[in-house]
Amino acid sequence: MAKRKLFAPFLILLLAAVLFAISILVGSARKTARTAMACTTSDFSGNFETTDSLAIFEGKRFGVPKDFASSETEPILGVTANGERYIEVDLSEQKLRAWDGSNLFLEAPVSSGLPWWPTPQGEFRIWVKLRYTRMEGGEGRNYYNLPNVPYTMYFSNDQIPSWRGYGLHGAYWHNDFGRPKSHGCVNLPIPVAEQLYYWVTPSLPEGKNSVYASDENIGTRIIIHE
Amino acid sequence: MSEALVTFLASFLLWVMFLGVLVLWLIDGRIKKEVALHAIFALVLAWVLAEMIKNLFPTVRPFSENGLTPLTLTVPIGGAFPSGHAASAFALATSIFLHQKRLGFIFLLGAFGVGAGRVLSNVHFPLDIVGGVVLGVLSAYLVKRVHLFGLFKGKS
Repeated sequence: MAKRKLFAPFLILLLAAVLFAISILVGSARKTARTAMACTTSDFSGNFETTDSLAIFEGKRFGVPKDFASSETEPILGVTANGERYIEVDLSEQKLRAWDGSNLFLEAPVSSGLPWWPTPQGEFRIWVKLRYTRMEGGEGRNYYNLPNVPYTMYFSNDQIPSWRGYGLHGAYWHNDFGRPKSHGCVNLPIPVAEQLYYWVTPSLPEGKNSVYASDENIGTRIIIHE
Repeated sequence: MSEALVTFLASFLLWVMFLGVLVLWLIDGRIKKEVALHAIFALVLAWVLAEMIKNLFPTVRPFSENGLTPLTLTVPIGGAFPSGHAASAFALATSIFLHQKRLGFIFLLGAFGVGAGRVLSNVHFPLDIVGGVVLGVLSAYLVKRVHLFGLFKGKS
């Protein structure tokens, strides 16, 4: 009789254990997927980190520049309405063009994702802008941990949701613009990133270091193509 | 490991609870047919109601707002409020609790686990869980009040 009483709880526990094992497998599969992900962050404050100034990239450790804020530039006011501003990224040319209607606002060399971590193509919108953020990802030799990445503009669309972590941002760890270099994001020279950061929407409220896009403060369109 | 626990709570615990009811009813006999069927009816009712609200009044899920990774088995699409998982889990647990206090208490603990897991896995805001709990508890009371088992029995 006692045996019978214990059978059901045992069965349920067994079931739970099996499903827990599956959870662990799911977790490791997700971890693998995440290494294929771009420049994800978990810091959405936009603030400068003063505590840790050590960066790791391609197996090298190096110091982080103390502050890139060369000049806190005023937002550049366009002549045309904001709805016509958009950013074009040409992956084959490794060039970024910022258009104000039909006027070219700026053109600059970029570094998009390496062939095994390609930058997604399509039409996106910026969903969050961060003055500074820490990006961490990759595994083993490809592990990177980059504090205070300047001027990040994360973008997304229906196919590439926000948590995949693709964006435009300044890069202080290389100066190889014009050639693919990144884990999927679009790397920009810092002065270019700075100019774009204050040019695109969502527009930054006074004194803030981060801003999310909303229906009233919609993100700039980004078109990425071959 | 903690990530695996969150995934387990968010995506699998509800199934453990559901299959647990079946095992305790069909194999063990600790749960009577009436209690089991009430619990399952309540679960289905709560789930359907939650799906209806989600589809009629879609709300944004945390992971699409803050960019954190959803830690669930599959990435949920559609509205956030209320949580269908929380609604189902609490419908099941409350339903059992109304008939069998001690066993129901264990199921309620499980239901809290499901709610916590859905929040920790970045797929629901705490308010979505509260909505789910209200929906689940209401469904359980409704099913018991109407005594669906009686209707079911009367028909067959």
